[in-house]
Amino acid sequence: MELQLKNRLLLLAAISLTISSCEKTYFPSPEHSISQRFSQSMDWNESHPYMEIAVQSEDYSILFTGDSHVGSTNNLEKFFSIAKESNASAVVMVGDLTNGKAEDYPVIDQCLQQKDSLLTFFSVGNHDLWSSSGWIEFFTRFGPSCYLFTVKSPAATDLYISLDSGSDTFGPDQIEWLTYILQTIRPECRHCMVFTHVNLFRVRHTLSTNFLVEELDLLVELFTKNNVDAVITGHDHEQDEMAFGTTTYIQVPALMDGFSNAGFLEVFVRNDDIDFKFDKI
Amino acid sequence: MRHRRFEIQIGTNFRTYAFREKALKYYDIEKYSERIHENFNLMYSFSYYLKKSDDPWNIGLSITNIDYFIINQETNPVINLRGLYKPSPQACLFAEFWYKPAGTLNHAVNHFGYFFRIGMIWNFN
Repeated sequence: MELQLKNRLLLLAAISLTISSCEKTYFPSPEHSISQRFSQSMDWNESHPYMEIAVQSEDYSILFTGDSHVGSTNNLEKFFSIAKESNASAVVMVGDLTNGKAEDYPVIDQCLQQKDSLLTFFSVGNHDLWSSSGWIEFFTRFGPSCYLFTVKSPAATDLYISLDSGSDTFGPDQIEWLTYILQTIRPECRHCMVFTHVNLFRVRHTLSTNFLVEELDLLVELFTKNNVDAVITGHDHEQDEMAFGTTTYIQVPALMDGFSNAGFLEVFVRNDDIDFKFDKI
Repeated sequence: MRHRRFEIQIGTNFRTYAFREKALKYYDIEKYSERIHENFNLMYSFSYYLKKSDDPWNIGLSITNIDYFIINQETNPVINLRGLYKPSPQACLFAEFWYKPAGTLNHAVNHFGYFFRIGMIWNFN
């Protein structure tokens, strides 16, 4: 009996130590952690200046989509043909471009050829990081997961910030960078929008996880204090729009094939106003 | 539900995030955007204890998103290793180690944080 207890105690200790010391042993994990991805993104940003899109009018639009989950590409192809016909200044894809299999990346490569000269920005999603080479595949094709770009109209400049939430957390380094950007560049800009993959709030009953509460509290405070106009995310697949504080939190509908509510978001900037419109594919 | 050394708890919670009156005025926040409700978040706890519950001491390991001590109810699973000692029927001393990863299952799991907690629970019954 005593021996059984000792064995159980040893087993419990071994399991506890294993799962508490190394997250890679009990759940899937990326080859590159958020701090490594952030560091690589910053290195890339140092040698590549932030993009500035010049528009001729105070009114312009940007299309946001996400969760294409390639595999199959029917909806993504339709989206690009719609985007090309629109007058959108840019397209933003907020993560989960792929299902996470290594073979998905050549498929999306082929599909992206159709966008021609359409300016497209990418944010990384949890599925994109699923395979051990996921981050490398993403980084070599699309560049950093954490960066910013601006849209400059004759009268003002608008700021767009991409954040990496592929691990359900921004991590301390990225939050420090975000804080710095919001405190230094944000005050000089008219509008500011943040885009990332994981939704901050859960608006429906779902088993998917999102940010831990401590981080969520900090982010809401940061966005409110710095007057961030909108936080645009994917991940949940269902579209949603909610105002909280001075910020509008938007979930972009998934673009993936077979999803009955597949669609995208159009963001219209008209001087001091921003309008959001969901479209079905 | 408890069976020998295993304990399972399932439940749901409702979370509301809201700005305080002072923040509403300071940031000039409109009435319609002062709060957000999250309904029917799943709560769960899967525990294994080394000994049966009538023992004066015990050690348990849980995967859970329930923290009975703080109001910030997580949705992410947290690993919890707990030691319990009952010096009398009313008193229970406890020491806990909680490990918090960010993300799980279909996420790229990342280290988030951990904490220790020790204390005493007094049962007035």
